[in-house]
Amino acid sequence: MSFLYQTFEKSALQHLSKVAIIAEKKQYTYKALLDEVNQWAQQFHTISQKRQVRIALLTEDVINTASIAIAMAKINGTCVPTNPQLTTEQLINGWLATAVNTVIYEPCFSHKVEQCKNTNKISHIQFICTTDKVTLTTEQLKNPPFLDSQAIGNQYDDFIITLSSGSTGKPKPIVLSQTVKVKRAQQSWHLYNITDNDVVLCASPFFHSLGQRLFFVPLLLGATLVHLKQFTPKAWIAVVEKHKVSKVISVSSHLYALKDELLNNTKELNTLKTIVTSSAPIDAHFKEQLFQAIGCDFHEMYGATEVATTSNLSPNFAKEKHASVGVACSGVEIKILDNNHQPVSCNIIGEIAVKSPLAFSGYYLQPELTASSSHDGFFLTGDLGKLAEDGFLTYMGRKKEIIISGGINIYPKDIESVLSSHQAIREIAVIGVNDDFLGEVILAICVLNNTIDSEQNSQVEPLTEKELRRLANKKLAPFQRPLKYFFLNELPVTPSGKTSKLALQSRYNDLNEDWSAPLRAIFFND
Amino acid sequence: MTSTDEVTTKDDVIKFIINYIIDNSSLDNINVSTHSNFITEHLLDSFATLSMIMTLESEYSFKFDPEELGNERMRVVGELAEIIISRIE
Repeated sequence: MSFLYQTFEKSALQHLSKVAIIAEKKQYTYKALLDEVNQWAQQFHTISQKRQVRIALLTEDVINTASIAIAMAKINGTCVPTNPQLTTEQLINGWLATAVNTVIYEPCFSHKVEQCKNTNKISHIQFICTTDKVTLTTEQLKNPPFLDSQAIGNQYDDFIITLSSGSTGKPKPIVLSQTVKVKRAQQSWHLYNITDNDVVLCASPFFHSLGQRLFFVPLLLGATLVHLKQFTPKAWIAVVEKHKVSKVISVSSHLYALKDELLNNTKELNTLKTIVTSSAPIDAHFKEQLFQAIGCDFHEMYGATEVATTSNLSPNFAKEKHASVGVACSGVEIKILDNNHQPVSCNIIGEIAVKSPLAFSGYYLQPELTASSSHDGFFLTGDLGKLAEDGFLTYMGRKKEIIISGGINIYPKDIESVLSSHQAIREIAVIGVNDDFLGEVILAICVLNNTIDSEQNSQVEPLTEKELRRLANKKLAPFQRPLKYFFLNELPVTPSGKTSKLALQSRYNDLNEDWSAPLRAIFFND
Repeated sequence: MTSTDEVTTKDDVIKFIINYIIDNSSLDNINVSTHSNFITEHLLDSFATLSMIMTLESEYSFKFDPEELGNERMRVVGELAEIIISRIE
């Protein structure tokens, strides 16, 4: 029990005077963080009244978030990181679904908290503002009244419950134990050769599983965590340079945005040793250029919150296997299954299924959903992919993103890979929109490289569309070619930073176009 | 490839359409001429046809009218080229 806390404490005691966290203009040593953790642990112990503390975190401040989460590990409580951008109703539903009995919030969220309190559904929930924390004296901290042995048992070992962003339907409460969280951090240490000398950048929120990983990876090891609250390419470059960041694990939308900046700022980024990306279309040539310029290597990974990192493409194979997300990580088994959950042959596309020692414990109090999420011990990811004979996995996109046009299954990733190779494209999302005749038709939503004013845009977009169509005609089968190209300044993203294809589908379905009218006219004079 | 910055002739457009059909037909060893009807001769499937319409609009920077697309002349290489030339002149 308290395994994560014990791992943290051991590391913190070895690095007491070292900087643990850098956030905006503040720095915290491991000693300061440990003290803060103990303050919170005492506070929670006082309020627990021998029941398990189940808190929802409504915090953005990195020291609050880190110290409360680790304090919860110390008292075997449960922590539900919550996205403050959610509506009142979404927040309440999430808290009820995870049996939260306490909400810790920062003063900037007071208004939202008041709105929540005004409903009568959550009268049993206690609200504590971070400024109301009782501060222990230095003497008390040396000899805290609350000891580990008094930790309240947590029979489910549900340390963190992550509410999936849930692109459709209700968010899923993904339960992760302390042991699994520590093992996941250890996996990252080994995969990316992270040591206590490293400075790790976190530009993701804690309510997202990547954000949690980027908190625990450095803090359980004695490394330094640099937190970037608001991502912009300029801010990213500035913190990497200022704090000599050495390791980065990034969501794909950040990497898209940074693509131009990385090569233009090689001098400022010369401390960077490793960038880990997740299915970002950064081509092998670009990776090589960056390696030559600043000696920074790329790892490509594939994973899901339920099963952690599943595959890794190491820099050695970046050139030869650039379309792949690598091979299964140590101890992980990957299968590709058909719709009847039967394994398919090599190079055949099917659903990626994963058996991992780092898997989640289940969906909180949802045994049926948990049971239906796996088959024969393999978690069904809902992602499509194919395995080559040599074990390299290729990710093809979300199962529900598959486009069915004229009865043919079309994988957006195939199209995005081709079109994103055009030099004018910064980012691209291929979606299917409803069409009465073909079922769905394909649209390509493009973001062009470099910001140009709207006057220039009106000239550049038709030329780019012409070139993209030529590229598609050359490299894609007729049924894979987008019917229309649209150009936006940026793509909508989910709270966790992924491109929101659902928002794009909604936007373009709302146009209510008769997309296949030209086809019917020419074939049937319709 | 044709560029609208240069003067586009009917022959250019015919050549472009014939090359498109040859590149995108699922049939082998096809003979495409100005008289070929790419619908009745099944030279292109529906997706390749739709893609060709979009490609022609993009290449020559114009839009077909819906009525125009229903005109049977549109299905014949030479006549399609003539319609395009009339639109971009």
